[in-house]
Amino acid sequence: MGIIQKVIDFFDERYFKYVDTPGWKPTVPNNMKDFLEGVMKKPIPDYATHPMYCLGGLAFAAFLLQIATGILLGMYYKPTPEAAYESVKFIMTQVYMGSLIRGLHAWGANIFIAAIVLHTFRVFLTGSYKKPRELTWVLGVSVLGLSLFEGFTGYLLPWDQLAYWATTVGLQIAGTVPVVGDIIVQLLQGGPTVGPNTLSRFYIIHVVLLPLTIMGILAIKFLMIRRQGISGGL
Amino acid sequence: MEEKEKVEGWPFIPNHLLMEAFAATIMIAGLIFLATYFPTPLGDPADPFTTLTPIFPEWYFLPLFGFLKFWIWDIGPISAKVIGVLAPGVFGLILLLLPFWDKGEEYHPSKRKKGIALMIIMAIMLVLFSYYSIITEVV
Repeated sequence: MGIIQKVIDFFDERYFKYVDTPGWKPTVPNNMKDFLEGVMKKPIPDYATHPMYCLGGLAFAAFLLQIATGILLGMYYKPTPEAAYESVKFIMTQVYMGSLIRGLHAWGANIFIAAIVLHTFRVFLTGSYKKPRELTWVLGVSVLGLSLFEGFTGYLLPWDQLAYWATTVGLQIAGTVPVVGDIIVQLLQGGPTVGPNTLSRFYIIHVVLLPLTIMGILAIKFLMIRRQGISGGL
Repeated sequence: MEEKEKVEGWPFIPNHLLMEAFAATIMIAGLIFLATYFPTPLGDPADPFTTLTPIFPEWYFLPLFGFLKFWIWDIGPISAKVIGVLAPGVFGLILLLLPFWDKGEEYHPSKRKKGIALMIIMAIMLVLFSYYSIITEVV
C-alpha cells in the first residue's frame, strides 16, 4: 500500500466514510428540501445540550461580532502614523456610538479569546479530540494561535503610546527566536523600528489575512463537526 | 423512516440554535455593559522617542511574559532567553499534537489519568506564570 493510499484511508476513515449517527445518511442530497432538512434536523445528542458545550458556538458568535464591529471601525480608521491616532480619536469623540463600537471590538476580542481558551479546555476535558476528530482539534488549536496573533496586531492600530511600545517589546521578543527571529521581525516590522510599514502590515494582517484564514479554517472545521457529530459517550 | 427513530437528541434547528442564540445574547449584553461602563482608553499619541514604562501586555500574553522573566538558567549552549521564547512554541506544539499522544478508547476524565494530568499541569502553568508576570514589574 502506497503512502498516497494511506493518506486517502486516513481521511476516509475520519471524514468521507465516517457515519456518527446510526440512521443518519451523510449522502449529498440531490434536491433542496433534503439538503435543508439535513442541515436543520441534524440531531444534537442529549449530552451536548450541557451548557459547557456552548463555548465553541459562543466563540463563533464573538468572531462574527468582531467582524461586524471591525467593519464599522474600518469605515473611519486610517492606517497611517499621521492619521491613525486622530482617526481613532474621531471615532471616540465624534462618530455616533463610535466609542461603543470600539469598546465592543476591544472587549469582544477578550471574550473571543477567553471563549476559545475555555472551549479548548472543555474539549481537553471530554477527550473529544480522539479519533476520528484529531484534525478538528488541530484546526481548533490553529484558530487559537491565529486569534492571539489577531490580538497582537490589533493592539498596534490605535497608534497610542501603549500600542507603540507594546508592539516594540513584542517584536523584540520575537526577534530573539533563533534562526527565524530576524526574518519574522523584518517581515512584520518592515524597518529598523516600529514605523509606517509596521502599521500598514499589521493593519492588512489584522483585517484581511487573519480573518480570511480563520474563516477558511472554521468552514472546514464545521464541515468536519457536522460529519463526525459531537463527541460524547463519557 | 423507521431507521431515523434511532436518532436521539434534539434537532439543530430550532432547538440547538436557540440555545446558542440565548447564550450569545447574554454574551452580547455583557459586552455592551463592559463597553459602556469600562470604555477602552486611548492614551497619548505614539512617540518613538519617549519610552513608555511599564508596559502591560494583554492578559492572554501574560503567561508568555511571566515565563520569560522566570526562566533565568542557561542550559548548555542554549541561553536562558532563547529557552524563554521557545517555551511557548513547545507548549503550542504539545497542544497541537495532543490527539496523537493521548489515544486510547476512553473519554471519561476519570479514566484518562495521563491526559487529564497534562491538562491540569498546563492550566497550572498558565495561571502561575500569569501571576508571576503580574507580581514582577513588566518590562
